[in-house]
Amino acid sequence: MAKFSTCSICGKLVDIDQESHTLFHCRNFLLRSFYGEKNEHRRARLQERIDALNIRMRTKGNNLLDT
Amino acid sequence: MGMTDLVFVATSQDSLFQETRDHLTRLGYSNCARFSSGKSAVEFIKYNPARIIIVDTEVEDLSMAEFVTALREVRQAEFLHILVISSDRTEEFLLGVISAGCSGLVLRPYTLAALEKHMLQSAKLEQAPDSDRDTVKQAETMIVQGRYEDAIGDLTLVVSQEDEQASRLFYRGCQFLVDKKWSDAIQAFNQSLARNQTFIKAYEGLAQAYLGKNDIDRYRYYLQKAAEEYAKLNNFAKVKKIFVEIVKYDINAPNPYNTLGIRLRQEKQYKEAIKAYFQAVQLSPKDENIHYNMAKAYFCDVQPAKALECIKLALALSPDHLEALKMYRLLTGVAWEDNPDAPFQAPRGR
Repeated sequence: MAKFSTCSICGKLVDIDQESHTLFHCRNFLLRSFYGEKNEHRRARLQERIDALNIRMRTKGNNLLDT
Repeated sequence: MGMTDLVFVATSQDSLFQETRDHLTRLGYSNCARFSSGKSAVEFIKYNPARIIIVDTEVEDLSMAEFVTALREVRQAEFLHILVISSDRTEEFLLGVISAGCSGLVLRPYTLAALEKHMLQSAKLEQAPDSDRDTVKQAETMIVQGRYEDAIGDLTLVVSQEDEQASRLFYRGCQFLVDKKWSDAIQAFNQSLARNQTFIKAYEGLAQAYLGKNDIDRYRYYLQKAAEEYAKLNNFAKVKKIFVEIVKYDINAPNPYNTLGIRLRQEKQYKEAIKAYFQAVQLSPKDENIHYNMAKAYFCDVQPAKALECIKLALALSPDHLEALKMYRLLTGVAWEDNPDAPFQAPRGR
């Protein structure tokens, strides 16, 4: 039976045995949520989290990385 | 009066057909035929040449986008003006029919002048001053007359031109979609399609001419080239579909071409992915993630030297980019910190 765990950084439900999940995956997950978010407040909140991750990963911008 | 002079109207609603027929009569198009069923219309158009089909609001058994897609698929290399009339102005609907390949769009309520403009556009599309298309038509006549050498000379001139124009027009259409300029997008996609069709006809003509000369090798070669052009048409259709999804759902994406590139790379369409990244880089030239993505597409397409060029650009913008550093080491065998200008080195043991 698959073991799932919620990522503490991005909130994605990850299949621990099958799925690789690095900070780049977290960033992509947040970006995908950001792209489709219509609510302005939720979008601003997501942008803050993406900016924080960008600083941590020493990258910038809101474009996905092909992981 | 030939089949191509008929205007086909596909709609499941009697009142709409009557209204459209009346409008067409007033514009001088007195011969109309009607389809209620989308599938029947597609089957008919598959075997009978048609110049214009008006798709009005709905057909019985297919959605509008499915119907337009099916029409395009059965007349891939032929000119067919598909004019959609609808009162649905939602972005989702418009993107759907444009993605499917409609070549004109009239929104209700419309004036007679608006319909007339689109009907005239059909004639313009077909008779556009396209010297290449004229050359291909003349060459077809030469082949029928047995003047193979003349036909080969003219057709070779057509296909010797750079064939990236269709791609450029296609991406121009994509940008118009991003800018929500629907008519401009349709026009650009129409031009891209026409360019592809001209090349298909030219290659098919060359194949026929060489067959006439009993040169079977060259006959096969040009048939293969025609098949490649058909494949390009299919690729454009696939790419357009994915791009429209991105534009529709990723409303806050800063660079939809980057997302498109990733989707295409994941679907193993590496060359198409690289083209998408070229567009992406134009929009965001200083984004290291896009340069990294492009490197990955080149790497998957077995172009490691190009991949290395891109990864160097990514690292010049962001020297601490972990994934880019890993790929640099993979491509050169050395660390970026040790030698930032190392050449490509094939991995050992391969």
